[in-house]
Amino acid sequence: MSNSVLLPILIPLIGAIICLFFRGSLKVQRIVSGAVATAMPFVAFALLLTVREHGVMVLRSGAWPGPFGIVFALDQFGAIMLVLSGIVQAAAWWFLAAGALDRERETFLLHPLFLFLCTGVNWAFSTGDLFNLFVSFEIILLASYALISHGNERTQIRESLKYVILNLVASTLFLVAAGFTYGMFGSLNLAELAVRFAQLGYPPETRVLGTLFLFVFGMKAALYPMFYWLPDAYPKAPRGISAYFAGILTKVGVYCLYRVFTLLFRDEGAFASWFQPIILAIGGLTMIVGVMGALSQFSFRRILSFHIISQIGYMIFGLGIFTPLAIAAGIFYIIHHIIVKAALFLVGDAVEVNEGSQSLRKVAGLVKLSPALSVFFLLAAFSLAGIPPLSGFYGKYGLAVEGYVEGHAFYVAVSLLTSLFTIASMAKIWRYSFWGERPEGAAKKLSNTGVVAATGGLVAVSVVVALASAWIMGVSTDAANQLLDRTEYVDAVLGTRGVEALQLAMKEPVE
Amino acid sequence: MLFLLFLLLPFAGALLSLVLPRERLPLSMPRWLALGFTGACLLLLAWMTFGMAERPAVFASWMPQVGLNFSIWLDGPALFFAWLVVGIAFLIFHYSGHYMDPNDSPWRFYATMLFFMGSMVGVVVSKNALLMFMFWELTSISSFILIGHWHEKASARAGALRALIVTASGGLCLLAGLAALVWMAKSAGLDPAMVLEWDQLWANREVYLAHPAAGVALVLLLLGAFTKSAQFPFQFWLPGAMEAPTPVSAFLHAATMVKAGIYLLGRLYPMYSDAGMWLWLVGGTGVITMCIGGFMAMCARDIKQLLAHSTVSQLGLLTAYYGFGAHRVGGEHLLPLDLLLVLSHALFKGALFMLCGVIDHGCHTRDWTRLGGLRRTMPRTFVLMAIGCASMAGVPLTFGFVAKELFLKASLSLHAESALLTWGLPALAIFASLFTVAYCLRIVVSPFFGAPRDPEIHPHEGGIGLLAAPAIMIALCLAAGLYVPILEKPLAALTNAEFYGTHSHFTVAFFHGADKLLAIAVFLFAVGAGVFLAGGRILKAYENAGSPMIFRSAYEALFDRAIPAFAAWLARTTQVASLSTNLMRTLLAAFGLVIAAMISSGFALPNIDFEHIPLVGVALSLLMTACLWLVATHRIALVRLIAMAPIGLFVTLLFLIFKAPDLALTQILVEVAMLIVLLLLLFHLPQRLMPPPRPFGRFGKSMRLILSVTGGLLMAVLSHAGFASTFKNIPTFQGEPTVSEYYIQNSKHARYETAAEAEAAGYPAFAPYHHSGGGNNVVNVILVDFRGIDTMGEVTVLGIAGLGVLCLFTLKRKHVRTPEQKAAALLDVMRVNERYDEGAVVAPMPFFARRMWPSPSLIMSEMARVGPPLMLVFAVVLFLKGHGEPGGGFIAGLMASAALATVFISFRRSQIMPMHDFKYRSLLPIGLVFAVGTGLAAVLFGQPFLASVHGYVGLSALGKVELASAMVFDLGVFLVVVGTTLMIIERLGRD
Repeated sequence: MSNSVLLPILIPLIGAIICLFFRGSLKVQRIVSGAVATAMPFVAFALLLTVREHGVMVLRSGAWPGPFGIVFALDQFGAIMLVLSGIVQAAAWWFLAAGALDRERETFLLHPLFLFLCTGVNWAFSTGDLFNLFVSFEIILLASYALISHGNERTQIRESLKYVILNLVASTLFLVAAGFTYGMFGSLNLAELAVRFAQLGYPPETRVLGTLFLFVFGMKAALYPMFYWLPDAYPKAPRGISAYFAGILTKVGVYCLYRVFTLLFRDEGAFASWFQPIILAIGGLTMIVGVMGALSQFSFRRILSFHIISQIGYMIFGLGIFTPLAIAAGIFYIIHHIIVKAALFLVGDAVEVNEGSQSLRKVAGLVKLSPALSVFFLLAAFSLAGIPPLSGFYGKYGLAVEGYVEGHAFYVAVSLLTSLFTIASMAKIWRYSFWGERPEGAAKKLSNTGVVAATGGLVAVSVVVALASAWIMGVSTDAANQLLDRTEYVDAVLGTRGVEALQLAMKEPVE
Repeated sequence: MLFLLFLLLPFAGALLSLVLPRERLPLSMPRWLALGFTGACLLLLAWMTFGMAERPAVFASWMPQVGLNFSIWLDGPALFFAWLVVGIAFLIFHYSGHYMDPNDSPWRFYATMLFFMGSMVGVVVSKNALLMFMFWELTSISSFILIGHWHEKASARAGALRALIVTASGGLCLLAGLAALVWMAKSAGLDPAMVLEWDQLWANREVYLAHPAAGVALVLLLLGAFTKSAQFPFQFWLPGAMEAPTPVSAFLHAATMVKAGIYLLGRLYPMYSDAGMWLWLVGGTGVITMCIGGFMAMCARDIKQLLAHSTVSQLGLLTAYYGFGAHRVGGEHLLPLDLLLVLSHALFKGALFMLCGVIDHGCHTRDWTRLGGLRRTMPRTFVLMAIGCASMAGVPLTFGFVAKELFLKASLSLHAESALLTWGLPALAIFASLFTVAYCLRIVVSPFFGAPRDPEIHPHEGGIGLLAAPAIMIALCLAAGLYVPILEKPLAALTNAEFYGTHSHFTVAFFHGADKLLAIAVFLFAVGAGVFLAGGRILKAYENAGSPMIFRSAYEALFDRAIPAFAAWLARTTQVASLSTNLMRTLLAAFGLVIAAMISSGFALPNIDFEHIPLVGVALSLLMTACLWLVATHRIALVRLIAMAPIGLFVTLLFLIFKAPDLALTQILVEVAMLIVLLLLLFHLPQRLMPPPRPFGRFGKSMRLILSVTGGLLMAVLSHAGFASTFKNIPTFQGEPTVSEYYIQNSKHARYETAAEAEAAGYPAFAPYHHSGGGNNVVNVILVDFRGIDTMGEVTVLGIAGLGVLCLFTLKRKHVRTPEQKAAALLDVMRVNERYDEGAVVAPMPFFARRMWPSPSLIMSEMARVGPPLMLVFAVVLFLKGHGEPGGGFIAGLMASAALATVFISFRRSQIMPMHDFKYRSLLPIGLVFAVGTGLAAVLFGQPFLASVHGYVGLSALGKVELASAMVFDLGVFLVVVGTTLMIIERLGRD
């Protein structure tokens, strides 16, 4: 038993509640939110180190045993995601605190909503229960909806309405899937379901369920063909917080896909004949369609939003290959992507704060305005494009090698082609907005250097990811091995009897 | 360590240039910094070359799983290229101090140049091929930034982008090739950790040659080399890169970066020289590039462009040399002298570019058709230029002659299986060499001889600062030409002895006697001069044809037109704005996938037991369907709303029929709360909602119908399958209860004081579990205890929803002042089926009521004096009894909200002022404090979060009431529900 598993959920939740008591005071809200944002990366990192040392951490909420109460189980993958969530939250907070938004807007519930959002996300990364996961999705959806519409621009309201409706459809299907799971197999505990599925020899219902989950989490992760809600909605999020949207939110879907396909649906036959071809095809299409969409855009955030989609494809590609190295490369790619994509959104937001626009057609000559911001952009952009030795390279290359080894050379080619177009569209931003003559009457100096500094902080983290790539690859590999070898997870949640049952079932399934 | 320092110094210099406070430092500072760092690198290199007993190497494992190591070495070629890069860099930095305008962003310029130098050194000293690739990409990036140095010019931006895209594409091919090598090594059972070290690659070459995909890998690797070194058909990016400042062109695009591809060929040669494809792939590409470059050089007016095309041609020559090298000359290995060719080209081409910059500097034009007679005004430039060109053309007594002779010898000694190759390749090479002679004459003769052609040009000679660097390089060309061993000896020592086994003993003499080589040389100079004389006509013919740039046009057609057009089309079709289309697609994807999964998995449709279907249920379902039909199809908003109301009631009835009183209570109260909210919203809603557009063309309606029916059937099948499934009755662990059994047993267990008592009553306490929920109402115990944390999450969701409503209604909306504007804004928002940037102005629609608080009816307000207090009392009862009987915090909260909301809508604002002034908003956080606090209290007692305790308290009026800590939690739930509902209702009503 370890209550500390709940820290990443409770700290932002309590922070949000405190902020609600001080609704009128921006100062108090900033201090509370800042304290949470500063604490989160450290807390999460401490949890990661603990999990690495002592194995999966489990909390049985309400002290109910085994599969009957709600179990929170934090393994290495979940802990990694928590660290990332904390880092991006901290960067977003610094960006906000530097004055990215007007005071009135920032005072009005922005901080508590953001903290609620972080609560939901961290919740999703640590729960071990299917319905509880649904609850966290609800928190995320409502908080993100409120944030996307926060500010009440007409376009915000309209796009957020689409966002919330489409995502509610996905949530409804999630609920259906969870209900079906319980009705069918009598459990919602992920570890117990893993054992049960194996005991029952993966009946056809598991394939239907898996497909339903592939759809639900795929929609949340903005996979092809369910990605259309993202590029219109994400650019509407408040400046600064948009980094959290871009970095973390869709990755909750990816995280869940990794989770259910490594833990639950491990029927090798069904995987090879059904899930793998679908996941690979979806991954490939997601990569290409996303990057193509990006090529056709003319604003920082919209370009970047489409790139989120295309890079989700890479992560799914890793899942589709389904070898330890591929999953490890996928996790590495997730780590890199979250940091870098958030950093790029911050660059775009910093440009908007200083120039009043994110349109490539209106902003030009930023190299002259701020060399620092230019260097930050270059580092993040080329990292996103997978240029070595920046952080985007290692995952990409690992996936290429594993793709070949497992005989998916076609998708390797697709991934590399995507990478080329990513370079092209990053170069396009550079060409239009950083190069060229400054528009007439444009400012000679940055009006807000604080936001640039916050951006630089996150870019620095991405450089650290590159410098520490050997260690991070090691952590990813350990996390991947833990995902694929389910015994540690099952053992932590259900005890040795669970592991024995699982191992027995994998040997001779009960008909 | 010194080696590492040598590699890192340039990067450190670049970083320093970025972070130094540039406003406070002189503009000459960055150049001195660059010179200083480069000088330090040169000293280190000299020490490593001459002062150390052993050649240094560094090794550190990085990602052994995929063959990546940080391993650098200084074998012969690495040492040679390192000297080449750092030496030329030093000269270039000296030159650019005199060439560049001191105000022209010197910090950025020198930082990028240093960065490039570091990357290039990295490329050549990497022992690991993947590490080399890393630096390789960095050179592409720095080249991109340097070409675009004068980014205000559109042509510079375009040229930079083109260069980047071409080299990056090649880079990705190279990466694909390297990944393929790892794959081949893995499938051959090799440990991937070391396979990408160059010496390992050579040692294991049979593995890579024998693999079925060997050809593909080779082509991929070669594509990397060819794009970098501007080989056919990628040669077009190099002339476009000439938009860069001249020092950049001389450094990157003549002397060093474009040699990276050549360097790679040298590294791949030992692996693949035995492959059949090598000769025609590498040699063929080389000679074709030679021809194209040579011809295009004759078609250029700009001397810099001419030099760029000539660079392409010379790079072709180097490539071809490696191609031919596959075929040994009479047992004598010519290839070891490859470095000699590289050095020769780097020296004269770097110098020529710099001299071209001197002409640009002195005449402010580089168009040779406008220049003439510079011999007199720029004599020193002329002499240097002439020697440089002589070397390029291969005139005896220059270093270029030695290189040319080697090349010709290699090409004449070809013995391929196919006669076409044996004769064709040398023939093409000789043909291309004609152009070399011709354009060398062009550079020397046209601008320097004759009379000045343009009176507006006032040429002046460049100073010693501009001429020093090219003079040194030209002097080397001449010295090595006059006495070959000066450079040949050290070069021979640097060749890859490990691989070639023996050193070459090819000695160069100026005159071998009257042999084939001499004949060819004479032929070349004679006919080349003829081509030069015909040069004017070639240029004219080319320009009359419209100066076609076939390869560049093809590139532009692909990357600037076809792909963006395709991308825009794809984005338009996949990313439509219409919500209904998106919904249709979502459902299609979901249902399609699930149905496909059912079919492919052999999912058995459940048998439906028609006899036991309750008729009431069927009837209710039909009624609900009818209402839904109205909701989906009717045009008037009010009708839709009215049609929605009964659905909730029918669901409530269903719950009652199936004996779920808690659910029924919740459902009906939710309906009530919803009704009040909707009533308030009605004030804001226009009468008619826009009819949805038809997705899928005119099949829209039927398509939607099909989709709905499919979806409904699917849900029916799934839920029935779940209902009928027997899996859930098999416990996971034998002897343990299923989840539902456990819930029933353990919530009731609390009735009995001890485990024994419970067992006697038929509720055995399972050995490991002696904990209980302490409530009779299993639903409530599940909500607040078994799955309490779910509830905590859900009340948070509720609270967030309320906060979201507050945001939507409170934050200042621009442009929205009058009711008409409000209506327009609302309609605009509702047009979710269109793209937002096409938002048009919408005429205001009639409102049900403009005033938010209509005068309430008398009946209503009289009723509201009695009803709500009773409801509130009932809410308290529901709350207190909830743990044992139907009820609980959530239901009680809804009941209380309904009571208070009734008050709100029944009285005038002035009548209930205190109610309006009450801070409902603070109920929400207080409620959350209770809910979360209960959980935390358990933590304080060392228990898991939300662990509960309970006991009994006698309350005389209500009988024995059980108090569990879960009730505090339930109180939190209650407060959140009341707070949120009232917050929303009060806010909606206030506007």
